[in-house]
Amino acid sequence: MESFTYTIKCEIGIHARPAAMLVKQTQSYTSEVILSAQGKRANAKKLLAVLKLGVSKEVKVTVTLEGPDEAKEAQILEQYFQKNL
Amino acid sequence: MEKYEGKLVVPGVAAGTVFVYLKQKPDIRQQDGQDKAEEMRRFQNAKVRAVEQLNLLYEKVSEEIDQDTAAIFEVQAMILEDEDYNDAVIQLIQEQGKRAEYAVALTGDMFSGFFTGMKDEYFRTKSIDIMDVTERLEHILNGKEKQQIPENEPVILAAEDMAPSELIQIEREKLLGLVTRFGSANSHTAMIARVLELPMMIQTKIKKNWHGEEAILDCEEECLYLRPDDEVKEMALKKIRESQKLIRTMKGKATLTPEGKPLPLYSWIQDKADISRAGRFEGEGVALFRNWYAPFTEACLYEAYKNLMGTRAWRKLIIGGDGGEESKERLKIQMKAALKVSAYGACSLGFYHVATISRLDVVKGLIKETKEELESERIPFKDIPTGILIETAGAGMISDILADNVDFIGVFLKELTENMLAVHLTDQEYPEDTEGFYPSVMRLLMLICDDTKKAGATFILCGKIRRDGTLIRELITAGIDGICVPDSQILSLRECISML
Repeated sequence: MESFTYTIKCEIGIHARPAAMLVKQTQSYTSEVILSAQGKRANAKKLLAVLKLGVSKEVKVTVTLEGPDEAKEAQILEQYFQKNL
Repeated sequence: MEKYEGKLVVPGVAAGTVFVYLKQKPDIRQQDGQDKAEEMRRFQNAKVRAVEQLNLLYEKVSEEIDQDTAAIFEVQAMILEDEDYNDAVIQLIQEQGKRAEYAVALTGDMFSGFFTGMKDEYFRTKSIDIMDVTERLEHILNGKEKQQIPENEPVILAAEDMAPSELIQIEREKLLGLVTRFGSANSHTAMIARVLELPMMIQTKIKKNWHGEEAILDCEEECLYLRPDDEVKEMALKKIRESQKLIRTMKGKATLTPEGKPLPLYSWIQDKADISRAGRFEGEGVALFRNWYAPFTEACLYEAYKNLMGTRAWRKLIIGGDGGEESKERLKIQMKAALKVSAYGACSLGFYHVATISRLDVVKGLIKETKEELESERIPFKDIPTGILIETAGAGMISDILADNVDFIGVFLKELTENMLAVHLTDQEYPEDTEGFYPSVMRLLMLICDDTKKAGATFILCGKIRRDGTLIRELITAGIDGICVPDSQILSLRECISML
C-alpha cells in the first residue's frame, strides 16, 4: 500500500472538471485508489463518489493506492495532484 | 403594474413579453415494470441516446462558445457512465422490478439531493447537472420533446430553473433576458448567460400567469416589472437607448482625457466566461490576475495566456501571479508561462502577495533564474515589464522601495480597502461605498502613486470604480497610467473620462 497527502490549491476544489479529469486519470491505473478527506472516503475512479466528498480549496486529502503497480502509480498521481489540483 | 425582486447575475435591461418556461415532468405514476429484461434494455438504449445527444451538445458548444463551457456536457456524459449512478438504476429495475423511468427519476433525486445539502456552493450546483442528465433520460424514455420557444418575437424567459443544456439549445436571438427562481451566480447556466451577454436575474418568484404579459427586466435594479406603467417603461427604454448610444459613440475608441492624453482601460477578466468573451471586450488591453481558469501547469497557463493574446484587438495583456507562493516551482511555472507568451505580443507580469522586501528579493531572483533557464533552453521571450500588485497596507507603506525595483505598480482597490478598513465588500459593492474611503484609502493610494511616479515606474489602478469625475480627475492629476475594470464598465468609464 502506498499513500500520500496533499492540500488542495485549486480555487474551486475537486469539482466538476477537475474531478472528471482526476477520475479519467485514475481509471487507467491498475491500483485501487481511495481518497480520504474530512473523515470520508471515496473511490477515486468514480465521479459521483469523488464529487460527494465535496473537497474544497485548502482541504487536506489523503490518497491511498493498492495494487501491483502501486509505487509507480502513486508517484505519477502525486505529480498529477501537484500540477493540476 | 407589479414589481418582483431578484438577484443580479448578468447586468442589462430587457423590455418585452414574458414566456413562462414550464418543465414537463414525465409521467412516472406507474412505478412497476412488467418485464425486467425489457426495462433494462430500455434504460441502456436511453443511455446510449443521451450520451449521443450530450456529445453533439459538446461539439456545438465547443464551436460556438468554448471548450470550458462545453466541458459541462462532457461531465454530464461521465455522470451517465458513473458506476454508482448505474448501479442504483439497475438495482431498482432488477431487484425491485421498477420501470426504467421510475428507477432513473428516483436515482436522480437521490444523488442530486445529496449535493443540494452541501455547504460549498460549487458542489451544490452539481445537483443541477444530475437532474439535467436524469431529465434527459426521462424524456428519451417517454419519447417526449421539451417545450419549444416560439419562433416570432424574442422573449423574456421566466422559469423555475434553467439547466445549462436547456439554455444552450435556445437560439440567442430569441431571448431578451432570463429570470429564474432557483439557480446561482456560480452555476453553469449563469456562466453561459454571461458568455451570451444575456441579462439574467435569479431568486425571483415566478408565476405561471406571467405568460404572455408585457414586462421590464431590470437586472441592475434587481427587479422585474410586470405590466409596467409608462414611467417605468420610459426609464427602461431610456437605459436601453443609453447603452446603445454608449456602444455607438465609445466602442472601438481609445480612452482619452479632454486634454487628449491617453488613459488606457484594461478589461479585467473576472471569471471563466470572461475568457471566452475576451475577444469582444472593449478595453485597450486585458488583465488576467488570478489562476482559477486553468489547472496550474505551465502548459495550461501558457495556453490560456496565448488564447487571450490571440483574440483580436489586444494591444496589451497584463498577467498577475501569486507572488506569495510557498513553492518556488509554482512561482516559476507562472513566470515561465508569461515570459514564453511575451514572444507573441505586448505583455507584462505582476505579482501580488509581495509585502516585504525579502519576498520582493525572492520574486526578483526567481524571475532572473527563469529568464536564464529559458535562454539556456533557447526558448524565445521578450524582456517584459514586471511589477508588484499591492493589496495590503504593508506593501503600500514600502511602495517607494517596491517601485524602485520594478517597472510598474498596480493597486487592487477592493482588497486594499478591505485590508485597511477591516471590512468585507461583496461583489456588488464599490470600494467607495465604504465609509472612510476618503481620506484613508485615498491617502495611501496617492502615496503609492506618488512613490511610483518618482521611481519612474507605471501606476495602474485595478478595481471597480464609479463614474465619479472628481475621483478620476484626482487620479489623473496624480499621474495614473491605466485602470483595470470589469469589461461592463469600460464604455461608461471611457465616456466619463472623455467628458471630464
